[in-house]
Amino acid sequence: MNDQQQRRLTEGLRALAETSRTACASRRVEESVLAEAQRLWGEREGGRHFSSGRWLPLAAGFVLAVVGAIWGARATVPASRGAVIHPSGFVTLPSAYGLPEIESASIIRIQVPLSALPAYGLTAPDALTDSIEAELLVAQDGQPRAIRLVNDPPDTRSRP
Amino acid sequence: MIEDDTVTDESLLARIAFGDVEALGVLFRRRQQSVFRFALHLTGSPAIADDVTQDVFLAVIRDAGRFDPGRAIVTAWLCGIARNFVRRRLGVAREVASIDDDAFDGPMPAVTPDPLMDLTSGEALEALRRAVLSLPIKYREVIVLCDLQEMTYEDAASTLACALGTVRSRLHRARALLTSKMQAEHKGNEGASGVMKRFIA
Repeated sequence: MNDQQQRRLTEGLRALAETSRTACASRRVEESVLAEAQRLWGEREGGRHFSSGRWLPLAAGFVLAVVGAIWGARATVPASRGAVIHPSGFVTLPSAYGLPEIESASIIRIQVPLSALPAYGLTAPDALTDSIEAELLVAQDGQPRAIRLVNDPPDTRSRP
Repeated sequence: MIEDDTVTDESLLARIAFGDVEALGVLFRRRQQSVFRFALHLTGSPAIADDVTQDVFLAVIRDAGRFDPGRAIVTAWLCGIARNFVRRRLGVAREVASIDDDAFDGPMPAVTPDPLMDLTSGEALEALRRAVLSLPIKYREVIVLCDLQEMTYEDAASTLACALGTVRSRLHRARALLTSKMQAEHKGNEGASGVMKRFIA
């Protein structure tokens, strides 16, 4: 290959490169890639939370609290006995007595059946619905310590 | 929100490794064209180039953390991944690389100011495109990377995972093969195209 051939070939290849200068992948490729990333990383995110064990003790504590509360109610223990009202309006759960003191806590919002409220030490409001929103105060060990109702009328506010 | 122009490819990959979808979107928009064109020139098929581009960025989702900035620039790394997918696809559907395949019929945007030159150049360019596609894959890769994508020899060596000297020798051989193919095509179509002579004179 002489210099002239080399030069002309280079020119031709440059022209060929120019023909695809604006070529790019179709829109569906970007959509597919981003959708796959969201699916994959979304799953991984869920997995991380689960595997770190942050929610497991919390869930277990909640179940224990419900079971304990129902057990207490069946034993006809007055719901208000020994209950403590926290400054923010939280009422100590019957199952929380004897647990270590709260050092740090999280609040999680749950839907509670009205029929279960007495077991939590709360008076059920007159409501048209079968359930009501409540907030649980969950301590550092994942055990729920206290509960309060959300957006309930003043006269049905949780009380000791 | 990521500022497209200020964040390096390497930073984007680092963020992608931690599951940053926005960073993935920015890197995709910035580099998909290089990957697509590389695959397009190697296969001659826009559909396969689409699939390879998708495969490459799906691999990025999985393996962004494996990128080593000390070994290659991001574009070279992406083209290296694309190369593997292209080779796999050509192995499965080898007919795609055949010059008789109608995959070459797909429209390619031409950019030339003179309509008359456009017509004649188009004929010659189509012959050259066929010649590139008929090269053995190892020669096609260096032509596409160095001549069509204007990648440096060093980056091409990173993409192909070979020595710099290998890139040089393959490129020399590839250009000689191309010239010879163009001459052979010209002899086959003697008199049909005066424009062809421009390349083989």
